[in-house]
Amino acid sequence: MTRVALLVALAMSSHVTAYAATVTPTSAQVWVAGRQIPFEKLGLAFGDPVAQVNDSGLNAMLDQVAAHLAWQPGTRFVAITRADGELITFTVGSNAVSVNSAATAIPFAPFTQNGQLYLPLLPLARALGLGVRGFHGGYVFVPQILAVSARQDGPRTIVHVAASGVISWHSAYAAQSRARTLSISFPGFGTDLAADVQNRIGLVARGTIAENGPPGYPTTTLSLALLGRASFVARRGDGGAEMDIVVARDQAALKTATIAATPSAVTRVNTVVVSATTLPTAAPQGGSPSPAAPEPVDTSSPSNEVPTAAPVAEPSPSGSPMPLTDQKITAVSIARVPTGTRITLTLSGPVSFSWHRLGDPDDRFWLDLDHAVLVGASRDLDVQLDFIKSVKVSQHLLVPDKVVRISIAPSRDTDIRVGQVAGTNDQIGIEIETATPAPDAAMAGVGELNATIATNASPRPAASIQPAATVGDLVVIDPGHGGNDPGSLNPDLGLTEKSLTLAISKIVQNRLQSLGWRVVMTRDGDYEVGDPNGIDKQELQARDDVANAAGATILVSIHINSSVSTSANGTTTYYWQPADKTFAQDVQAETVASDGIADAGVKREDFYVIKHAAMPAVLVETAFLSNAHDGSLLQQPAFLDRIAAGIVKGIMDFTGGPHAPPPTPGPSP
Amino acid sequence: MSSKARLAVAIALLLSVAGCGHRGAPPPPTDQITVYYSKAGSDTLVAFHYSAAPGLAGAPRAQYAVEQLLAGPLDPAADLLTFPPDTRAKVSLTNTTADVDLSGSITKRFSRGAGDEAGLFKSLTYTVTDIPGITAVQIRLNGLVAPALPGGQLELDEPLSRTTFAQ
Repeated sequence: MTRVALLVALAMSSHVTAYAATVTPTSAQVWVAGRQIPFEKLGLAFGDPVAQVNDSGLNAMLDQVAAHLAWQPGTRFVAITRADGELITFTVGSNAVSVNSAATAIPFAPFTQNGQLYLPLLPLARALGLGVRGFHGGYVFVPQILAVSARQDGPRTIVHVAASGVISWHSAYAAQSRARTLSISFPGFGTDLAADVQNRIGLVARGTIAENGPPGYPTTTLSLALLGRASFVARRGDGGAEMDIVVARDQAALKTATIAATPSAVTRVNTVVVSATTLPTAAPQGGSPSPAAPEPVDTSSPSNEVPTAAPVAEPSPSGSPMPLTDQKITAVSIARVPTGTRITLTLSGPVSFSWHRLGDPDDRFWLDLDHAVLVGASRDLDVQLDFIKSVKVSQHLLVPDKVVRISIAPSRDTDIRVGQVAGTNDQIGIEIETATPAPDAAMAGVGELNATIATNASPRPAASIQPAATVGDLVVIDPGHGGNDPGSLNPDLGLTEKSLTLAISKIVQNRLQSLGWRVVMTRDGDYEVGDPNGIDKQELQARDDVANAAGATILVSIHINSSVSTSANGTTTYYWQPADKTFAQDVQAETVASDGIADAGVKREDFYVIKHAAMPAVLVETAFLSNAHDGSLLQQPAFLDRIAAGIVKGIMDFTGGPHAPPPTPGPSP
Repeated sequence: MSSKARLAVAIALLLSVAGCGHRGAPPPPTDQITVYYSKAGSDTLVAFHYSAAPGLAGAPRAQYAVEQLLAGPLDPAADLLTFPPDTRAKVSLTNTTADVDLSGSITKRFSRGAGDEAGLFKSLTYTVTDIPGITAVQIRLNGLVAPALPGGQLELDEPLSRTTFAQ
């Protein structure tokens, strides 16, 4: 017994003595999350950095990642709580560190010297989830994006990000003709995650992650390829080391998910910075920075906030849904304010809005007000700013929802802020001012005008409502299949579906154009619209992307049918959205009347192309290639012309013509 | 046959069954599944009833039903839609959603029209959701959830249910 105790005592003594002998001062710098941490007494033991447990530098390092240290002098245990709540435990004399009871070996144990407890910094950094990156004569600890996961919650797709530090982010939204990508950048964060972090789920087609920039201060960017038009919000979790990105088709779903009613304060993060905010009243308010604002509705994280002179408006009652009744924009005014030039939109009631900005070289910004009607004609606004090429306000959409768009084309670096004008409950302001150059990125965000607005607010004197001249005149025609996908075949007749659909579509295009329509074809040759090597999601979504990006009024997808039953014949028109049934009925009736073959009816089916279009959409199976009668007719150009004529008539019936106000969706069945 | 004669035959049969019952085990009880086929060129479903082993439930029952569907109808002359002969399926169950993993040529290219495509998956969905406790079908192609068949139109990356095919 005595012998055993003596051996243990010798071993502990040996450890302490050995460690104490190796500590040497060092002037090496320590950087954490891009910030240099000044240590009082940084030392080296066995060649690695060590710090006293009560060194203010160590606590500053922990502060940088929202971790907290607890240690009682005279005890052997040091407990550190990470931002995510995980507990790290070091024990004097133990060559292991435990994270939530899971032990990991470390090169040497914490030790005491002259009554001071020393912790090895590198194992500590790793236990904190930091990336350890050396540079000349110093140590760089980089917070990491540790995990990305996603789940579907009703209409919302929620992407969860976990990190080893307090997350701050910039968001960017890029809508190219065939792809929508939401990018969330985390400045100062690295990652060891594999590039593909998320397969398709809900509205997210794919999630990828990449680290760029200098190793000491990298930026990790999470890119989410979205399936069609979507809105999103991002919010940080309570601990600061987690965030949720919520994506939904419509903003109502976002509101019920996460959004605080009043957006956050102004942020400035990019070449053209757009943020949802509360703007000061025209008479400037002096004073202190704004108090803590509610969670952001996208743009950038609260850590990027800069103080503003604006008082923060009272938030709307939480959870109160925005009414979907249309509101009028009764006045549009321009005024100089101390913070820039402000365009003020006065509304008759509450609306929600979203904004987008493209990246270089096309720095256009636009703000869409949902369920809004512009009183008066679409018009250009003269803001008298030499760095703004144009500002336009227009009735962008009338179907399926009424949307008023304000678009701004800057000629150089510009800050644009969007928000409710403080002291009002019926005004949205857009403030424009020059900005210092910054890295380019596309951005987007959403917000809403205070939901407490009185719906009977007296509108300003207004002109009569006039429909916009160009609304309702764009048709997208989608010739089915193409390229490596021939569609249906009839080898005996030498016919392929992809050739027939293209032929019919070109006739439809010509006929529509002769009537004054603008027409966009998803393809005008024998090729795939999407990635030829991609799965059909990309191919079908690519066709929707063409229509959605073009802002089409309607979409018609043209196909040739085929069946194992050679007796199956006739024309069928498919729809998915109940509101599109009238459109399908119009196209079906006119096509059957024109082509003279059997009426196989209007049907509702869950077809991808018509389901993911943001406008009234139908898919016409014009005739059966597998039927002898229909097939023989499909060999005749005159028959193809009759089909095309019928489709065009159906479009005319539904829309009323190229320059008529767009159609009102029909009643649900 | 008069009603009296039919009654006499029935009584004789009952006596016969009762008489031989003590010489062996009683015949096993039978169970049935319903397999639906779509009629080509229409929205009509035709129900076929097949015997099934007693007690077959859940995923095994769904697997059995899908195999019957893929095997095709008893009457090949009927104008009913069938999957390509080389189609195979592996069925598993998560809560109330059956995961039907298809393989075969249908996962490479679908060259029939949208009507046949919708009819095929409608018949599959109705067949599987006829089994108690199953309300939806998630299609996989060679193990992966895909948005559509190659060359197809029907969206497959979300579970199909009978509501999907409601007109």
